[in-house]
Amino acid sequence: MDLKPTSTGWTLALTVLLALGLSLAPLPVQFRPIPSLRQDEGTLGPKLVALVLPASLRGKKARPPPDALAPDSAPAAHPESESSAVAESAAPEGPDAGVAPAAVPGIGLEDLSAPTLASALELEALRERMGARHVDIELNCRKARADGTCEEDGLAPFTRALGELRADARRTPVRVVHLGDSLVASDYITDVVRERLQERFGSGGRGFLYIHRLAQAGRATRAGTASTEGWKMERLVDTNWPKDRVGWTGVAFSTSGPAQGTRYALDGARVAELYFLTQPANGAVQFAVDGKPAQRIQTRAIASKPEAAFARLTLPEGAKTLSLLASGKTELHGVTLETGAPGIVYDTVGLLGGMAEVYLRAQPAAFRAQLRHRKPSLVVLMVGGNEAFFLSRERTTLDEVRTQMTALVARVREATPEAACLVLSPIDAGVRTMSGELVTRRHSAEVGQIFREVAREGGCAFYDTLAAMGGEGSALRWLEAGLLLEDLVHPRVRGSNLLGHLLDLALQRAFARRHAPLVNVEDDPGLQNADPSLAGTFAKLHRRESGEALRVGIAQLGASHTAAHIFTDAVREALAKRFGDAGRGFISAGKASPRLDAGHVVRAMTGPWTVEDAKESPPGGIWGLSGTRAVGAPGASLSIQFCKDCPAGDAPAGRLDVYAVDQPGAGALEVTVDGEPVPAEAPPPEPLTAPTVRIRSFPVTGLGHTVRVSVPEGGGSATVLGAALEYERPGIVYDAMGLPGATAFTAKAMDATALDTQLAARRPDLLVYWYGTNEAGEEGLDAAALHQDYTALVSRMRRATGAECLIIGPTDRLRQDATGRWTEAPSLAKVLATLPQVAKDAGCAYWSARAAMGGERAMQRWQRQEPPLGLTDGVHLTQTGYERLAAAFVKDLMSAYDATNKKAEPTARAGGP
Amino acid sequence: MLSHSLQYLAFVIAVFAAYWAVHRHYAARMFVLLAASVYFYAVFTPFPLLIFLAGVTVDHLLVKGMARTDSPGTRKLFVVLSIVSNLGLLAGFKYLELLRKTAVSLLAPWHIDVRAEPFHLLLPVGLSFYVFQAISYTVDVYRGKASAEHSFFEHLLYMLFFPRVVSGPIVRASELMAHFREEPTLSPDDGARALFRVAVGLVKKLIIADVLGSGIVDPVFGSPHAYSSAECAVAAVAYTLELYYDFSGYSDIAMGVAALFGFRFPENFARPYLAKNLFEFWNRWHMSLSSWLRDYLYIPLGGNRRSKPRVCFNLMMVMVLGGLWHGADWRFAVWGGVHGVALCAVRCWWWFRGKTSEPGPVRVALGMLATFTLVVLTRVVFRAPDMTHAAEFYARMLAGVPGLANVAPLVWGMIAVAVAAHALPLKLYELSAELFVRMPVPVRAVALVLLGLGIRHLSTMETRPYVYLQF
Repeated sequence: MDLKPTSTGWTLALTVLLALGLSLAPLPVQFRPIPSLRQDEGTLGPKLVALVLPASLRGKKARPPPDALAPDSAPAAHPESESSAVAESAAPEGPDAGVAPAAVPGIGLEDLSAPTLASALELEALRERMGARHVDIELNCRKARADGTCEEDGLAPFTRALGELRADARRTPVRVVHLGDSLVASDYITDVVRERLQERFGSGGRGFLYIHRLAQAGRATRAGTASTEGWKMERLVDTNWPKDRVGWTGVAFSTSGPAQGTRYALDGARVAELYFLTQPANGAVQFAVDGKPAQRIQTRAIASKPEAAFARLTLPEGAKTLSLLASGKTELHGVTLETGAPGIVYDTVGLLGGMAEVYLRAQPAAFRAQLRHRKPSLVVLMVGGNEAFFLSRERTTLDEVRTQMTALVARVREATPEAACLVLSPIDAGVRTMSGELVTRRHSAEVGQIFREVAREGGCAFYDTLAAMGGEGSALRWLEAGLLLEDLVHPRVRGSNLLGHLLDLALQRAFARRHAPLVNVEDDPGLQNADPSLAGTFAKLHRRESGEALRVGIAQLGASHTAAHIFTDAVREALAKRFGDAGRGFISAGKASPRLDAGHVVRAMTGPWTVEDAKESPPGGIWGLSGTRAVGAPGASLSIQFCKDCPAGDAPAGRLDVYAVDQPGAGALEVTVDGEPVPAEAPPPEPLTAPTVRIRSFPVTGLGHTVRVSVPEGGGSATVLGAALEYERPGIVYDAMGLPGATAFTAKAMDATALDTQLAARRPDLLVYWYGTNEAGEEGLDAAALHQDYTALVSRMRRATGAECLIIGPTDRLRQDATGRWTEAPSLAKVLATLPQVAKDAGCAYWSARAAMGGERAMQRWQRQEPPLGLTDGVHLTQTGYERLAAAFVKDLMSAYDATNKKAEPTARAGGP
Repeated sequence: MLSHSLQYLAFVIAVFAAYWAVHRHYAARMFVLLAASVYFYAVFTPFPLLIFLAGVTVDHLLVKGMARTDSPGTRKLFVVLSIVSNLGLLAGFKYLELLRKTAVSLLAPWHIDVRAEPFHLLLPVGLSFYVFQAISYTVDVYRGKASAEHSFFEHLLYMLFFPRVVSGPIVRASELMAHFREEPTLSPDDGARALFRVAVGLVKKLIIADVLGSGIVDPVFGSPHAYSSAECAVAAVAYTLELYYDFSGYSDIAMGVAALFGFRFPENFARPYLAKNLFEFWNRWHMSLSSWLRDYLYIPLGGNRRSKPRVCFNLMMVMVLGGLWHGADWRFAVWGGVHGVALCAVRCWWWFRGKTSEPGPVRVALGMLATFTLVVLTRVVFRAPDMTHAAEFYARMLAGVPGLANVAPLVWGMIAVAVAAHALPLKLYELSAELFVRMPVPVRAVALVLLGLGIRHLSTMETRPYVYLQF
């Protein structure tokens, strides 16, 4: 070699030798230029090759397989065996652990409200696309029996507390304290979990909030709004963290000069509590509610050293804001806001750069005092991402990670032995390598495994977030799909929402597995036994939809849910939109009612009328289809106006029927249609010994019509039952015939001949029965009698009309005792058990309104919705509630109809030419 | 295998040893360099090597054709064929998709169908640099500024020479190919300076650029709405610095490695953010590209020697095309266009008010500030993935949201280092280089290992590819 380049060559050679020597020498890792060459981990040769040869020449795929990355392709398949193996290896409880099958009932979506369910289903679709998975929480064991079997699983205190909330047997909130890193700081993941838990179990308030937001920009979460700029903020993640002062809340907000203020929106909170530090210096905090001074507390310590302390303030009802003004030398840690009512309070503390070691920096006494004071039912630990990062930088070791997490879990368990704890594994992340390739960040799985073991040993439950996300390599798929930020570590909002969705459902499944149903009856959602019970109706609807000029009649009988007309109006509108509108159908004779306004029907009565109803009368007697009758003295008149304010122009031919009673000694009725008197009808055949139903029919043209019935002077009283309007055009006629407070027994007790005659005149193809809610409220209901009478009623009416039938089960009926506690209506379980049997025996389809509402304690959730869906009586629904239930009914009915059509299609085609 | 990776350093050491072992033999040293260059490129992706091989073959035949004919028309035809074939490569692999998308959006109102599916063409790494360098050679031969007597393998090595093949600098034939036949030399001082240059490049890239990139630029540009206006402004400044330290760091490594083999590349940067006006900025920024655009586009268009409107047109044309050279996206044309408008404005100012030969310190400061501000603001378009994103970034930056909580102390520190390193007198750099050169070999090795340790501790884990690799 030429001498001239020798000097440079020697420099290079010595540099390489020195770098290799230092890397292999027994030096602390920070002094090794190439730490991956450590002697204690495998042989040197392959490591050197890996160091020198590019990845593409080593046969390693730096990126995930193309099928996982191609934007238009489905996500990589994840064999079931793989996920099962993960669960089995860590779940001693066998069937409890494992991977829930995707998109099947039981993944935890059951009792979400419609809007939340809609967004949850979108996230489910996203989960499918991304290859993310439903992974069950590994419950582990927090308390073992003497024989080694598990007495209490790791989540038991939490699921038990949720059960108490569900049963309304708890007067205090269920608190969750969720500690974590930057994934928690943005609050997106926890927001999803919080909102859904609060929707299911009620809200106990906003929970723990910082004095001021930790970052000037970004999402304003979980903090007050500082009215001054002089707060000094010190965090456990800072290089100079606040030593020996801060607990799990992680951040100290201190003042030492001019007074500093902050403000909170109360959002219905009735109790506020300040978390602060007492210290040997003068300081005070003045509370103000809606600007008016309230309590003032001194923060000076009685003890010689600083201690975590708390000050509670009861807030007046309706208060809007709470302000704090700290003067002197103070250190505040945060404020909790709670409603004081039972419900979920979900505290989140997320520190950017948070890890187990960071939370261990908290003063142990303050950590314990603050956590005990909070009385959480569950503590969630969501760290690990930064541990994995530091491992990849060799700034920490697996042993250190294990030690620190073990210490944190122990500290949490020691501080709140009665609380459950849940450890989450870190999520998957990516890095760009020295050669610019995107690869999976190492160590996430290792840290996750350590956390799994630490959780098991510490008696905590464990959730494998990494597996739920889709396993190692999923971060790169998430990046491609725009669910991960370009930093390859932090999920974007949609990604966070998906993680929150998966965690929430995992919690929900864990709760469902441990929760004994309050009503121990199978109450399945959806339309049951539609095939073959509704075959004729569906066939006729299909012919109608195929263009045949058919009328399809549906008559719904029931109690107040039907009498309210909101449900039936919504169902009628939906069906008419698809199959055509053939008229309003039957309206019972009665007083003016705003419930009919939405259907453009107006009733009016003048003169001496008495409206009688069947449930307050002795058995027997002629009643209208709704179980009422209007008895008018001479001189009285009533009118029923159909289609008020309907647009002119469309003038279909139609038929207006008037239902009345011929009885001995009764006066002849004078009828006008649209103001025109109609000829008097021939008197009833003589001799008339018993009342009979007379149905008179008048041809009409146009949409809107008014029928007026008058009882002439000088005669006897007369009874009117109702009127019906139909158009001679193809479509649906949906009759609503409800009597508030009625039961199946009420209907059964009415004169059968008269009722069946009227019902047959309505020419129904389908009879819908919605009794049961009132039966559920009866103490000591005779279920056998209900079964017998209801079956007989339905069978009889079916014979009289030739119609098919569908029975709707009761809504979720609750009652409130003197202490304010809600419990199930006394006979709800009996009704829920009996009605499906009635449907089966009478050959009817069955649809559970309670299951459609969300099942167990759905009424409470419907009451809590905004706007409310359930009324405070625990029985009835609001207008929005009935409309939402009707939408669910139509959806299930039409799904069954479409499924029937789909099934019939191949047969039809096969039979064709 | 990026040039700041350990694999690359190992590769360079191996090639260095082989090259100097045979450097006295022309064929052997050519073989070493050519084989190393082919290997280096093939590690990225081998397929484009066939394209380059075909391109060099065509160009070589045309160059030989020019050498064998005296007919000006034929020579012109050959050079035009060379330009067309090279630009055809660029258009086909780089701009076809852009043209398709543009045609789809422009012709949609007239219901004219254009292919809806993307072409999915692979953009060969370094194609833009390859094409410009190829054109420079054939045009130089046509102009008589470069020799046509080089062999095919010399031509091929000139185009594929590994220190510069992926991201330049664009080297003229006179600066590289002309020296292939000379027996190389490397004095101890030159070798030490080359190593120093590589080390400086690594520091620029791995410490300053990558820390700024991953510390603030990526997160803020990724979701500007999550940051305050001040943080967006800091991110824009940080990106401006990142881009300089990234590309000049790469250039330093390329020049240092080339120098280890006895080749001297022209400088690519001359502290551009100290420019007092935009013309000076472009004379200091990516100088190999700027001078190419000047020599092969601006001057052929007429340069400054035409009417004033034509000069402005020429400036606009050069800047818009120069912008588009960076990427197949109209935002690069917008970025170049804005610079073109600004250059025209400066030119007009000089025409109407006269150019001050020796401006005072206040004027210098104002000029530097205005130039830097314009560069920072236009960098947003350069960095953002699309114009919508850029608009969102500008909107956020101007929203007046205060706060700098998300700017980490390390980022502040690195911005300070970046500014200081940019502004410090060149003499300090030269003194440092001299100190390194004068070190005994073992001390120099210790210094390099310490530097490596420092880089290991200060750099980010998420080592990022060079920004200009995408161009």
